[in-house]
Amino acid sequence: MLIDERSCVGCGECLKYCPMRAISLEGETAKVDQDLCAECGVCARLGVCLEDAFVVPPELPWPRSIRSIFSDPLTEFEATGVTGRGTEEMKTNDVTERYKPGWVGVCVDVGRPNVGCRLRDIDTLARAIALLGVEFETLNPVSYLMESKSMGALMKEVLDERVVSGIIEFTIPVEKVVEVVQALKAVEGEVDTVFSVGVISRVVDGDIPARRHLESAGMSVAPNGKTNVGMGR
Amino acid sequence: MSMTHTLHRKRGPGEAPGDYIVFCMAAQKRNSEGASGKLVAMLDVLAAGAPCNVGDDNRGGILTGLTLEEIRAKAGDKAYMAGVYTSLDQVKAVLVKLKELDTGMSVVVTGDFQEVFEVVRSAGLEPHTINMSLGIFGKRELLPREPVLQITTMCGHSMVCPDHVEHVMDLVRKSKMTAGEAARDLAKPCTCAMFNPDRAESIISQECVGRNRECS
Repeated sequence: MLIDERSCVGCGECLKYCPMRAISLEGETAKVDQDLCAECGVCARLGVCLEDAFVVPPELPWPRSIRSIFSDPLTEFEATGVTGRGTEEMKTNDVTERYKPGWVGVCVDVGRPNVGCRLRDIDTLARAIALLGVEFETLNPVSYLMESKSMGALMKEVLDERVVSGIIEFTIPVEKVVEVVQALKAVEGEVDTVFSVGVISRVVDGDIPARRHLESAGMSVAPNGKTNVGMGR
Repeated sequence: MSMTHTLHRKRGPGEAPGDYIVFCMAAQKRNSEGASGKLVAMLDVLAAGAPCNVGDDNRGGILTGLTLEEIRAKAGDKAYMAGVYTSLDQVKAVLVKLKELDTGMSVVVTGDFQEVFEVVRSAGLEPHTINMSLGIFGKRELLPREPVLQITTMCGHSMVCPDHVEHVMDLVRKSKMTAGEAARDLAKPCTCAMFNPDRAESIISQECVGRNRECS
């Protein structure tokens, strides 16, 4: 995002709306720190600037274009055909059967909540996960940026790009779920951000095997989450 | 949109449930062709269930400046229709009507698993797949303080900023804004229309006014 310095009156009204704290006042003008800006578009979309000083770049060059894909919820990722950072994951599992009994999906939401991240952080976590021999979800922007799925390694030219968040998605046999969480805990100190972890499981005759595995290992699961109610076909 | 946007809604210690989202979508390239009409019909069911927020994740909602008519008109086959509710009775009534509508589109409910499972079964349905949150890892010292986090995590895309929350809380403390006005102001950046303004109002009231307005 850019600011037209001739239009900006330096009121500072826009500063509090930036998720990345990329906007600051320099004298009489607001400035966008291009390194911090994740191109989420919220500043322009909200219409808080009475002078209409925000300038949306017509087209972002590669690899900066990645920022918008990961950060602007209204930007569509061509490979998946949907907006946003991940996939339909379990939301349409009653139709797609992407997650079958005996398997679980894991979503590692890097940079979330409210911190943001560099793709370098995603690379660090994906490499740790790859050592467990997981199957990365193909139709996902993070997987699309991997130069080696077996190593979980992202393309070098994207590592410094800053985004609001990115999701590493993969499937594993249900009995490996505890091992995966332990692997993530082992490297959590190596990233300069936060990450939220979600585990997707089929409900089999009322039973949730993945939850049993996690709780028996002393891992707590939030009481609230998402339930696909099986209406799709 | 695809992601885990309603998964990691942070609850306060001892906070009563009262935050439920029902959303409806097609599976792309599976049953999405020509789905827009079905999704609009589902939107109408969601909107008739007295939601505190409703919209299309891809376009915005009633709290981001769109009218229901505009949401209907803009809906495509990739629409994610969402309604936010504060009671299980509302959720049950919506699920029963969606079941009667029988569009074949997928429906997901976010909320407490125990409560949601009961409601789903009472509506004659059966939980198929769940997504569980294991919480937040990494540099947790970078996170905003707890009451702010409870509000910001209602927008999974992080479009609702901690600085914005602190700003409106400050205005409420100075009696320059009501908690309800603050909550609706915070809902504006949340294009997925899954932000719960009633819950936000309650959290802000508790934080700034010292009283907890019961959601109804």
